[in-house]
Amino acid sequence: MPEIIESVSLTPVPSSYQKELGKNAYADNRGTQWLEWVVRARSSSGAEGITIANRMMRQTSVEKTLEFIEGALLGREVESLLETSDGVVTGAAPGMDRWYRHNGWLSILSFDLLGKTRGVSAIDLLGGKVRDAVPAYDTTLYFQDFLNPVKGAQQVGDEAGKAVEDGWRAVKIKTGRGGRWMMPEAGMQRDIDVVLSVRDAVGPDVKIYVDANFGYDNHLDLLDQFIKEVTPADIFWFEEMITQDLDGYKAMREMLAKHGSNALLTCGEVDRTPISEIFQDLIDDELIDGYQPDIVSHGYLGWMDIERKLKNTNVRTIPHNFGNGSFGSYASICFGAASETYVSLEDERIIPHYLTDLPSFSNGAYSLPTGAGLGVDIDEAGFAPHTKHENKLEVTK
Amino acid sequence: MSDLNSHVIKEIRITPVETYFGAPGKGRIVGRNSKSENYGYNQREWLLQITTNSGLTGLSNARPAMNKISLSELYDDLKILIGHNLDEFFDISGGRVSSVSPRWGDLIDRYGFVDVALFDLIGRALDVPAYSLLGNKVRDEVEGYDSSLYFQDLVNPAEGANAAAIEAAEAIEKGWRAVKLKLGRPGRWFEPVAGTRRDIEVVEAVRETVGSDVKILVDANNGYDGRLDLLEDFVRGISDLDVYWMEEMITEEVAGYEKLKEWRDKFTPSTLIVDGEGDKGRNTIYWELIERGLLDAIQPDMLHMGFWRFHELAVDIERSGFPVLIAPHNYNAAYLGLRADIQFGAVTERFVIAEDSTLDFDLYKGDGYSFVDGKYAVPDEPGLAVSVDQDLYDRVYRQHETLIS
Repeated sequence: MPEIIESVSLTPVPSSYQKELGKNAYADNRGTQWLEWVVRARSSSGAEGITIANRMMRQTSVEKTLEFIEGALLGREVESLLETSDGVVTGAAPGMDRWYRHNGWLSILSFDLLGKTRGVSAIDLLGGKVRDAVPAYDTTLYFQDFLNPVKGAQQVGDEAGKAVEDGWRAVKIKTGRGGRWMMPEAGMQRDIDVVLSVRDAVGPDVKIYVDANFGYDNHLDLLDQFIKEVTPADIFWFEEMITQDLDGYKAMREMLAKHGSNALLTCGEVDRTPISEIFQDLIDDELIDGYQPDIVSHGYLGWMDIERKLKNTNVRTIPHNFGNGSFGSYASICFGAASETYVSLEDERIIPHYLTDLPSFSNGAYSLPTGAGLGVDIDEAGFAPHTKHENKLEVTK
Repeated sequence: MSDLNSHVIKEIRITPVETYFGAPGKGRIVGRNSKSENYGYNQREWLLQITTNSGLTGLSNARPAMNKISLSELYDDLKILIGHNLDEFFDISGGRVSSVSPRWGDLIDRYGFVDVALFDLIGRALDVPAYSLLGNKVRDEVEGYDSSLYFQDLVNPAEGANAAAIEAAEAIEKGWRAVKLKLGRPGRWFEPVAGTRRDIEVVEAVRETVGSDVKILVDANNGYDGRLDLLEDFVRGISDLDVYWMEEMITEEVAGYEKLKEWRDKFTPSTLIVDGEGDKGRNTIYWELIERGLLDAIQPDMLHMGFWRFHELAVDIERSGFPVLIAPHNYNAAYLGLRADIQFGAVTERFVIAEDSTLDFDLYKGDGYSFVDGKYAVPDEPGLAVSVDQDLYDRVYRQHETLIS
């Protein structure tokens, strides 16, 4: 009997951060809670694929998203979701490409469900593991100095120190304060103070990533000074310091050389149709070292395609994962396990609540899941309070 | 009392001040409305302090600007105020502002919140309350409503519709006698029929919890757009729940409002229909709705309008003879915006009720605005009757200020 998807559902599930997250260079406080729009698809044998539809729900309504999920999945054979060869996914199954094209998150559910019905890991469907653990970085160091104004820059240093106490070996610091919320020079000085405070707090062995969310646009002079002042703090990568632009990135390369920094330059989270022209130009001209479209938005099929295109370059895989909640961590771990050039998982450190436990975390890295599919299931006890808001559709028998 | 021209603007400070829903240092999450993600755990005031060479300081909240532009842009726009004396901004006769100087009209239009700080300064310089610059006091107290009851059922899913009722009960315990419920669940976050049902359940749960003496206001943020069938179901569903007003049930347009009024008249005739956060007076769709008798109250934003432009609109409405009331939008306004709203309400006959985002701040002292039985007293002290705790400011906030001098 073929495995048929007999029911699909869409349920909003609040996820809580470990603390309140403040502003970044352009957006107001993130807050303490975010929603995961959990999609569940159950097949005839009771296997269940999971993903989140946050990308679609940012743009449309429950009604429209349900229509989409119903059209894409309900009544479909599980084996008709993806094409495979020798146990590895090679692309969308016939007729499925149009569903995945702008909604890569759906392809993650397909990997999960196909893996569970076949009894194989999504890591194997992605090509097999290339590492035994996936490093992760704490991505929660926003403009915490605004939220807790008493300590100023030291507040971020203290929170970074706590992250290291909790086991992280890499942290990302949001910078770009002069972009909107502070005057440009004062913002740059605060950015410097924050980075130096973090280095002081975490010691020499922890990786520090810096992300300005374009907060240095139109201020290359200040960016030059910023890079100069923080280079002694040994920055591993500079992310989105300015909007993608060939001249700007050439200038940044020169700044790094001038100040003796070995940091990577990364960007690409804003690329909605990867690899679009400007990013391809940056890659071709060797002006970026890491490329960062979102892991859930583009999904596994989208990212497999990106990696094929990056194959003969030196650009590394660093999927954006912020806003993807608990589910995003699982999705990233599986993808990172099978990716040769994957650098580090962007970890929001969501308080676990509706999924079965994450793989073990030690020395700043997650071990690999051992179960079929993504190696994760819904924790029904944790999920129960949210069923009140579940939107469910079933095949009419 | 002193000559206004002897007070020259010397310094401007802009400072972010964070606080939390509920109480300083701890709070609760305010959830979604019909269109936007969680409002969040806290709010912030962009404290604007305009100081004269005579040592007077006028206060306001620059958040309307900071919601749209950068601090750097605001800095550039406000620095032209430096060096000008308080006599230059408005014509004042008999203790009343009678017009805004053409030189400053554009700035006041763009940044209504600046006029709040100027009224505060002028009131202090003349030793009179800010409200008195607009007219005679028509009330000694201004009622406020708790405006922080969003889609709390998605924040606390286990409670469902009761989540908002639990928080409404907390608001009543703290003294409010009116609460506003965010509705419009069909708009985005719920399947439309289920969303309508939940909207009605929330109103039912809150009414049951707060009893019959508390005003319940509802606001759908246009969440019934495109679903007039469900809007009719909703209005029918609340027919025996004594809802005080229905706000932004759909995007303002004549045909839709005619249907809304028809259902209101049929099912819940005492409920007001209100709208108009974006109002700036005549030549707007809101004025057309007023002329057609489809709107009972309008809601321009207090800090966007500022005292003077809002007063001009109130006078225009009064002279027009239309029986429309005024209920300023004030959600982002935090502490200082609420105080401005109370001052405006004190002299505005048609003022209905003040929107209160229920934020408290350690930084401000405004004891004259005592809050009893859901109403704020109107203080008679000079200006806005609010001062800054200077010790706290120096210790915590000064390191975050931007100084224009």
